[in-house]
Amino acid sequence: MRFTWLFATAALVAAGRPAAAQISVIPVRDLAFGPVIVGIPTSIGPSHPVRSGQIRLTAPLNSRLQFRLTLPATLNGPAGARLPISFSNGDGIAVSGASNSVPEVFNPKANQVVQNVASTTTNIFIGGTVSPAGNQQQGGYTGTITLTVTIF
Amino acid sequence: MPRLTIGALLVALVFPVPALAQGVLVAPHSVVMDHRTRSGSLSLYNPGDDPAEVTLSTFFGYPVTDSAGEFELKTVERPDPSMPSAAGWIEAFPKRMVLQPKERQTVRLLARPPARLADGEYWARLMVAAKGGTVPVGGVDSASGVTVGLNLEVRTVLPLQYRKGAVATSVRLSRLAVGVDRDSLVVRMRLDRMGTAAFIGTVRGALADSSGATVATFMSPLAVYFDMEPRLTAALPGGRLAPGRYRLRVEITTERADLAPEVLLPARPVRDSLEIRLP
Repeated sequence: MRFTWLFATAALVAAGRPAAAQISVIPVRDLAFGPVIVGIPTSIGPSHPVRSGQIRLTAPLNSRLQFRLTLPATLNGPAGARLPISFSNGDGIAVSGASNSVPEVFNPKANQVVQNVASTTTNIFIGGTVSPAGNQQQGGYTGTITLTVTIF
Repeated sequence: MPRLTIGALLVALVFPVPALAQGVLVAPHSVVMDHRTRSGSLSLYNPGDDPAEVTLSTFFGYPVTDSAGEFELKTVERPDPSMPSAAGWIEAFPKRMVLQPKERQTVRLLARPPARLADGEYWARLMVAAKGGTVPVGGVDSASGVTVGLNLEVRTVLPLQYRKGAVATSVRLSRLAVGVDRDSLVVRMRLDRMGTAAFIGTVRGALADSSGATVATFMSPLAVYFDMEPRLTAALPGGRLAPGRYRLRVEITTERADLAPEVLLPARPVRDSLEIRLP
């Protein structure tokens, strides 16, 4: 009986304490333009269901986070070839995981601060535009987008 | 937002493409170390299906607000000796690792503070950088000959506090101001940290009409390292406030739902209020 009370008390004490809060930044998919036509700019909007980049950010409820994207200006291709890439003011979308959340369009070149009010999860979508020249060298071009998430 | 866009986002959320990029889960999201043990730990987990290359580093930085009241991290590459930086003497073991899919790793944090370190709180930021494989772009389309893909790398930046001896904190609230911007209540204030440690807590506010009924509330975590003038907002019911008299009440406490009580430094709650009249 005494042990039962002890366990119950311990459980109550444990329940009153916050669990080890965690933060995760998980890229769900990369931004994939796929094959593009030379000489013609190709844009992928952040709302594209399969080709836009997507990152899932999870942090404790009510926490305040800043996220910053470091974006490339060119992509690297075969034998040192370069391919210009650009990002416009509306190429980012942030959507809270709450069921009634409204997607928020943002400029991916600027810092964003979010507070997880209704959900612990925020999904970030990224689009962009590549502009291959008419004489763009054939091959695969890659680059890196870096997302830095700071918890205050 | 067009209906098509919301639909596309829903499709993307429900049917995510298998991940190529890698990230990690980090716990806890705030680290407190003390001079007695001079150690701490961090737990990393790779929830993905591919290995993740993880690197840990430290730097000195603290939150501030810009002229618009937005929060940002001020980083100092070479902090002068007067700054309470622990970035130079906190080390992570291991610093680099490859986390296999579903693998956990505990990272030890060890402090090697300088001799005769004065009592007080010292700060650093821990950065956990993760990257995974590369986008497969080898399958070049025969018609165009050019294929493009971008990798996503992620960096998570966490606060770290190192305490030596007795430390105390409090905050002074001044210049409380309130206004309405479109459909939101906007509250500005100045916060000056007192004592020898950062003030970590929560600010709560409520706007009541002349009958005493609450019409808007807000709550925000706070981390005042030196001083800041945040801009906090609250949604207004129906997107507007009717003309009349209102009273804003603000309370700042050291409570945080996401942090264990033992890592929070207690301080007396700070309260202020302000009456406004809307024409």
